[in-house]
Amino acid sequence: MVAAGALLLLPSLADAQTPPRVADYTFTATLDPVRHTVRADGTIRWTNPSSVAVSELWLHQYLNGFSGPRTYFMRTRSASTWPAHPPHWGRLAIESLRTGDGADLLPTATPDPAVPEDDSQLRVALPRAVAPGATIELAVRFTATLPEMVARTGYQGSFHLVAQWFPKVAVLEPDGTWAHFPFHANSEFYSDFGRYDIRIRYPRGYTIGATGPRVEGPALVDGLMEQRHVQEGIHDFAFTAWNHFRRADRRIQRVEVHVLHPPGNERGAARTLDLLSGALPAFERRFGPYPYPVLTVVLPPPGASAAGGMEYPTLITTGSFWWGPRRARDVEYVTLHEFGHQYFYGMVASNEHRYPFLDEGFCEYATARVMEDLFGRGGPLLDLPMLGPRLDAWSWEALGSSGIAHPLALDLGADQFPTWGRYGEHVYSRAAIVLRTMERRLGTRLFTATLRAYVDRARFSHPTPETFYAVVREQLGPPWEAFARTAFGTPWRYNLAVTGASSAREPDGRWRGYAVVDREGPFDLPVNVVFTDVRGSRSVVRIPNDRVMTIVPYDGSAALRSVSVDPEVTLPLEERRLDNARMADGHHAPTLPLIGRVAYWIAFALGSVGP
Amino acid sequence: MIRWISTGGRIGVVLGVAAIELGLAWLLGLASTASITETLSEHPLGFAALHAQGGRLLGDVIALNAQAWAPIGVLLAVAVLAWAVVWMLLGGMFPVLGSTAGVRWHRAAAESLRRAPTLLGLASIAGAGYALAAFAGYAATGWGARTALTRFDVRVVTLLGLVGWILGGALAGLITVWHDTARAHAMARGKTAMQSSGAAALQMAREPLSTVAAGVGYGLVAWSYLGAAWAISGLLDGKTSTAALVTVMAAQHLAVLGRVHARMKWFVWLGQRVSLAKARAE
Ligand SMILES: [Zn+2]
Repeated sequence: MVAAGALLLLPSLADAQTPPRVADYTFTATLDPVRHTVRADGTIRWTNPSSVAVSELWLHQYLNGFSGPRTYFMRTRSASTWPAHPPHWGRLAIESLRTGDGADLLPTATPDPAVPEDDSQLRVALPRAVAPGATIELAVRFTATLPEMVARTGYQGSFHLVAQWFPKVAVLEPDGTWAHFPFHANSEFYSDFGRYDIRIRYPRGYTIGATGPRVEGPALVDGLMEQRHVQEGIHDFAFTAWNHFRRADRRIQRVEVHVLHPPGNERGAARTLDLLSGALPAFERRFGPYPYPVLTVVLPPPGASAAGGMEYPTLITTGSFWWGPRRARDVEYVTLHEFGHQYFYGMVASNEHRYPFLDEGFCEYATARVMEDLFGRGGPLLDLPMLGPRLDAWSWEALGSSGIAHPLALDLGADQFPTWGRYGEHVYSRAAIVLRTMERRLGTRLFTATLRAYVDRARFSHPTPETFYAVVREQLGPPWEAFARTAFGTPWRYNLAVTGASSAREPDGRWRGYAVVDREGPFDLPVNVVFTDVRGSRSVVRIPNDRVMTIVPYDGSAALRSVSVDPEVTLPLEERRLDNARMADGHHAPTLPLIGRVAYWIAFALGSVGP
Repeated sequence: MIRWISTGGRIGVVLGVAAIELGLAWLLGLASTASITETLSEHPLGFAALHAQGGRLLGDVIALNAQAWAPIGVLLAVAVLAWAVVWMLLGGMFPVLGSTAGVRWHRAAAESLRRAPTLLGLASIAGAGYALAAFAGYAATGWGARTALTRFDVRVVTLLGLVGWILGGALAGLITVWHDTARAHAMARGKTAMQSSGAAALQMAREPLSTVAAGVGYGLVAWSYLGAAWAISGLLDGKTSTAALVTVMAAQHLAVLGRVHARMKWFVWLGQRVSLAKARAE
């Protein structure tokens, strides 16, 4: 159910800012699906968005991360994530790079000397400085050789996911510093807004899905199919091609949604469309309008699942088993997450390399938030009756965060997390659960309005954590700004526990006793302590929770049975929830049914080898 | 007509075997959940905490008992293995009860132990057969998965990926029917492992429908009890009322009893077939 009816934060075109045009790309790109190459030529038109004149240009050539075993990407990968080397390496080779008046820029262009054996970056010296606000046009010709599917890029058989295939201008920050970095295995990307006008040429028989709406074609030109996609207000462009794609379309509000899927997975496609029919309005209600006319969802074919779970502007990849039960909502979860990136990455285009929590963490929060909007309390992720306890999206995030053994600050760069696992538990789970904690403390309505204010301010720009802190300060006041700075900017552990509970009958016939509440960690937010007596009646005490140990007195007409702290889960960022409640001394809760269930399954195992 | 009720030892054996199996299961259940129940008995929700807060508390329980999972796994594996060895030795007990009307259970057990070498021989052959089934299944699944990748319809891909599981499962079922039939031949007709192996194979070949179909039929009956108990406990999962708990416990215990009963009936049926064949042969 959609709980957001009361919010009435209806999208209007008025609050959609005009996206800046910093980097425009106009290419004609020809896909050779046999050689797995894309040959392209065209122009890059770049306008200096800073307040400083620059005489160099930094280009990212992310595809070169997959060009050999010694690249920075390959050296920094965790063994558990990407294979040591794809069977077929990729490469981005720029064959020509000239200014509008014909000056050849390639001879003096160099990779970053600070990163040996890696050419995922290219420093291009310009013949003349580009003044603030001035524009330079470069003519470029290049060939992208795709790797066999690795890190959501490349090909598998005749299926192609063409991403990071062109030289992309790095972001020049307002103070004139280039935000350039080598492609790290934990890291995603960072680039500037502009207009992409891409003509894709490909052999007959292939189906193409691409960023932005198709404005021309497909038509047969010189023996190849050709179609043109044009979109403004985006900062990347990807496309997919396969000669076995099936397609399902639906118009959802103003948006043409296309699902490209393998034959036989019509069910997955329908499920995706059904999901987005609810999710698109839900996202718009909470985070503002989705400004693009199209969205393409790619369900990769069997054997290419490594292509799944990635976001590009107006094009996302997910995954789906045709037989997957409806109430196992992993497909929904991934689809919502990747769609959420249209906000937190797409429009709110933070530096994914420097502040990955701003895209992944906020996106993960949005995912669970919309899971709850669409599927009810908790956002049930796995809700299979007969097959054990249900798992909620919020619990999933909280458990991811509570598994952190050695906390780091969340605002570190992607390359500052030692492993992919530690990157994930911090920037996805912990960041999401911090935002969820703010929501639980402030109420969904107020927190949604705050987050919406942040999205409105940051839309079509490059926010930093300071942007978010400023919005929090303005909307919620300095104490919440301090909370956010501590939660995102420092390493912490946090836990509340009831470590003692007891009562005894006194001469006047009343039962008196106490509960001990221990606190570990930095957040001194008041919480409720609930006493339950043996007759089942409850009494609530609010404690300031401003010290490491609080002793809360009990005075009741019956013996104390149990005590719990924060039963409403207003602090879901806690490390453990199990120790938030405790039986009073001398009382025990029933566990026999659990033993009985386990005994049954053991009897089942014994029976299968016995008589 | 099977004289089930009138056959002295059988009911006692069914009850006895089910009771021992359940008793052992409860002991192992107590031992393997000790650390978890200690944690949960401190929590006001007790066992129901596992179903509370959308899996949050279950996650905590799993994490808090992280050290316990490996020893629990070892304990259970050893127990199941020991139980398998016991029934390798006593594997002739049911066929004796099935083939000899009025025999007492201790006589059947003694006879079974006396023929232990033969039973071990048959169990070894069956074990090798299961290993072969597993390998064939594994190989077929690998072949299916590789073949699947050249297809594009995901339904075909899934089915080809499962082909080994399906074949291996069917093969394992056939081996079970063969093993039981061979044990019946060994016990009812005093044959050696090799002789009864051949006799069982011959019987399955001559009367494929009746032998295999009956084996599958009794197997299905046994599994349907377990399935029903699983369904009931699944439906009432997380319910904490006394009625729900009693229902689940009763269903699970009756299912184990029903399974042993169905298996016993299968051996009675087998024993009669083998005795008839023996009578014909004489
Ligand atoms: Zn993401």
